[in-house]
Amino acid sequence: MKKFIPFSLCFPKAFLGLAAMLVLFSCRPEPLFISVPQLESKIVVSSQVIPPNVLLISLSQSFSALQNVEDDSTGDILNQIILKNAAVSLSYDGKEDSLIEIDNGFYIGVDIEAIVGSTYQLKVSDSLGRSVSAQTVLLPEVTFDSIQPVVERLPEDTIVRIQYSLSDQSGANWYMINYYSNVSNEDSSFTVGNILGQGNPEGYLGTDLISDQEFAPDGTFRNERVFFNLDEDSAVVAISIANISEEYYNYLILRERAGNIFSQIISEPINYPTNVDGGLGFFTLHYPSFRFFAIRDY
Amino acid sequence: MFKVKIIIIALISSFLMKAQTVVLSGYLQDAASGEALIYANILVNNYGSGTSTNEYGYFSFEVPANQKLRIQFSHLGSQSLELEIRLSQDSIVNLKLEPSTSELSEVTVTAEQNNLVQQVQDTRMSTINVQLAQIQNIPSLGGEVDIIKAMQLLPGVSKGGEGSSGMFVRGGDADQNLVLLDEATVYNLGHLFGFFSVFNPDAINDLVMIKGAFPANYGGRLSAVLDVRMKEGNDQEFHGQGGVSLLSSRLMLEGPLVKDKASFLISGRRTYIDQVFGLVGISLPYYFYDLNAKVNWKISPKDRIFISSYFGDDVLNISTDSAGVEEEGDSASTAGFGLDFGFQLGNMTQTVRWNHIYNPKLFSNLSLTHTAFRYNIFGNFIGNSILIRSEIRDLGAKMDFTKYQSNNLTLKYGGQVINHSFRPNIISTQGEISQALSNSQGRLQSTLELAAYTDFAYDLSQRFRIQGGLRLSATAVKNRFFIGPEPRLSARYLINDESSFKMSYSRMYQYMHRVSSSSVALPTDLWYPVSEKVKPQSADQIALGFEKAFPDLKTLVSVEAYAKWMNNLIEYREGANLILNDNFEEQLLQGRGTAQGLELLVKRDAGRLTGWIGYTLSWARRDFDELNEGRSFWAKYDRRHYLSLVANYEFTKRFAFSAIWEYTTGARFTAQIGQYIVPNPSLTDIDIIPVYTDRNAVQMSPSHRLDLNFIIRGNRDKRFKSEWHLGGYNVYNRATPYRINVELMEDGSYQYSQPGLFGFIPSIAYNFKF
Repeated sequence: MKKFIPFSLCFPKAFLGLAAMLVLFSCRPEPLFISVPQLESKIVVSSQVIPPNVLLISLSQSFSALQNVEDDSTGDILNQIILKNAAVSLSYDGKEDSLIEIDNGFYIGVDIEAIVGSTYQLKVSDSLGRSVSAQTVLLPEVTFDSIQPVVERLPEDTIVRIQYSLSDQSGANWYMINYYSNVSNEDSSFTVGNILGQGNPEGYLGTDLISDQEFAPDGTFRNERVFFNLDEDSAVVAISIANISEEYYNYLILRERAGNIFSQIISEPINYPTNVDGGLGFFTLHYPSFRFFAIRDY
Repeated sequence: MFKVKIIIIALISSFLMKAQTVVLSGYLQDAASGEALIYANILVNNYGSGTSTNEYGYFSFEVPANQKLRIQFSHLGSQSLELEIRLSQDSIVNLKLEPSTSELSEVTVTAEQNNLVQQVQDTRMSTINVQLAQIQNIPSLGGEVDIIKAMQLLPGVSKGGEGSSGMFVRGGDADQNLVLLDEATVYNLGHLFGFFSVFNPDAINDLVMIKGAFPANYGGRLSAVLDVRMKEGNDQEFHGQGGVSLLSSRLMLEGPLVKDKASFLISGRRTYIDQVFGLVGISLPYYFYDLNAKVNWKISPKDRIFISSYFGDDVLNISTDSAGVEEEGDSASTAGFGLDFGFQLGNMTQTVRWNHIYNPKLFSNLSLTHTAFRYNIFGNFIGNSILIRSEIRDLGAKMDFTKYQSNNLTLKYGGQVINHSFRPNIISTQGEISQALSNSQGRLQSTLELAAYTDFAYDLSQRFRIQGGLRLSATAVKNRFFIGPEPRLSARYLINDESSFKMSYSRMYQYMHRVSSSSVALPTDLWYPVSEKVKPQSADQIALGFEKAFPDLKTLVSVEAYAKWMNNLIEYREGANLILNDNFEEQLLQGRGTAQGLELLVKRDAGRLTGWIGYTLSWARRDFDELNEGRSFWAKYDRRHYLSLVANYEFTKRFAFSAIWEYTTGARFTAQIGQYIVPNPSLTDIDIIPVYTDRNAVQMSPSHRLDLNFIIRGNRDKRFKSEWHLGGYNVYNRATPYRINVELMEDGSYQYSQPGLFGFIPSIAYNFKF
């Protein structure tokens, strides 16, 4: 490493001091305010299949950019945006089922028949007379051909590599793989229902989004995902895989790319696509298939 | 038979006329410094013809033989020179003009008037030659004289964010400007994330901004050419100049190596921002430096060689000792991290030029250029290290010939070849991080850009002059060869000696582009060539103009209207990840753009009061099938109105005052107007999803700003001359919006606020010359 004579030693301190004083005299201007018309409130749809045959629809409404939901300690904003008392129905294969409101904008369908390849149409109307609709195709459940953790125990850390392979289904396909770990040491609380139903932000490890364009010519895909800082004695890793639609895949890719803080700073802001006619959000039906691994066993 | 007779008579007449003229040629130089006087005027008063020196100070024209002639040579900033001569044969005269010393002297006034008349009579339009002396007096951020900031005050040039070096010319993008330093391309114009330009004013002799009506010898970018030429070095006596400002110091030395034969120039600049901020308790381990050097040698009366070079770097190095975390009382843990992060980025250019006079009517210039822009980003932490390096390197050769066929016809022709080498994203990692980010040598790409051109200027009559040309450009990339014919045409109709109409048409092709998100241009943005998938950008531009000189007022008024159609413009897919992405072509989109505008320039280059008033009314739109749901949208720096007032006033020889006031419509912005919540795809949390307006649909508030500068000079009759600059940037401290935030108000509500980057900043600078 080269050593330089400190610049301050060969430059008159007095001028630097004067310059520093002028820096201190500099002012920061008061910001200017501007009025921007806000978005008209729209119905927001999201959905999830909970194996084996439960469909959960969550309904809310969009709100002004000038409301701060993150500082909503009283829950007022959350109460305003949850869509209650909506009429929600699902049409498929010549049938129509109504979904039941269970709590806080969640609507559930329990006897929905799962017909792979069928088109399901969702219709929502609320007390304000707004209505939205969306449709999607139920995709088949998929599983890994093989999956296993490879654990490397180093003095400073334990490195876990999840190595997996899968075979492509017929036709064009897109896949979503999610990785989770347990937060508590109680293995029994780390179940599919808890992962999908209760939320566990601390235990979320990451997502792989894969297009079958990335598969080898023989129709297989091999990959590994590396995780650090997992407790080698108590960590349990869960991996889910689902076959998802192309439009949902594109939506997730966009969210993955544009959602990180770096992109938000340096890139043009974007509006995410929606398949909800007249509303926002995404209506999708896909079956997640789960595998669990206790790290201490590997 | 009758036709044949006419042709024979015409040929004989032509021969006789030819026999009756001789060629007067030579170089015009500044008597004090030996610098070439570029675009100086030469008028043969009693013969009704004239010409101007070229970009190397050379002139050549025909005069009647054996007649007493009164020839006037003039250049702004110099005293005019009038010669009475009688020539019986071709003659070479190298002349020197004394610098102007008094603004009221007759010879100076003549030069000013000639300069105005020449601008009106020139075929070129959309071209502005700003006097360096004016730029050196105008107020500047932190007292740093900045030629790019001065260019941004001209009509037709829109700036990016406040203080940035980005130029958006006539609705174009920032990477569509060809910036040349002694004919070598400069890729990165800014230091300190663009707040200061890379050009050290002490080393600059001349600069020309061309916004349209491009001569055929220029090409490679769609929107503008900024041709910056370094001083050659004083070949008469040793001199120096320099200065000390708030943020940097600079020193330039020049002198003869062999008097009248060879000279040198060396100039350096370095910031001490790190030291200044350190004194007020802010750690900013950053500095930049520049180094310009040039040697020129007059080998013979017919041959001159110039060798010039520029180096400049920005250096940031944050280590645990200087990161400032220790001041928060956590030095032990900080030391444990062993954080070391920084970058080094910069340009270098080298040019070798050879001017050769084959005969008095044929002048040539050969330029060999090398330019490189590269950056290194490094980080060391907790036993890990990472180094990311990217580089673009050009090797070019350009041969230009100027044939002075007759006083009515000047031909230019030549060719250019540039080899571009791109090596982005060279990655070297060690430690645990290498598991996530593997080593890479980057993907080396080389392309060859070729061009051949011819250009002529012809007087159809005393009033009507045309300048036309064709540039044939091409580039060879893997599996593809692109070729682009670029016709150029300019015409001038002289209403009288002091006013003219002008029109122009030009087509430009651009074979490389900057890989950048359109929101923020970073110095680490990569340049990339066209490819098998990415087509060259092109633009067609027409312009109409009227110019009127008011010699008594020393003022020129210029009005121009333009329209521009751009094809294959570059944008990136929504959400595109360009960082460390070697396969960014998949993220690239190409679309169309249009721009229209009206520009007014009232300019005064001489007298106690100099400066200009510039006004631009403009529109710029973009049209991409895959952006904004296919709907057309406004360009980011579409600014409807821009008004600039730049004034320098010399109260006395020792006291001067300078001011800038500018008003501009706000830049465009994609504002968040709503939001909604959805579970994230893994169902482990809730995401808040923003909803935005159409792309660039919101216009930020207009801004205006006043900058002042007072100049107090020492005794100008002494050899050592000095001056103090006391200035203030944004003296009434008004924000120039650069982004929109959502801000919590005192009543608990939220509002959109537009912060400004710089408020009132006082400055002091000391300049000297000897």
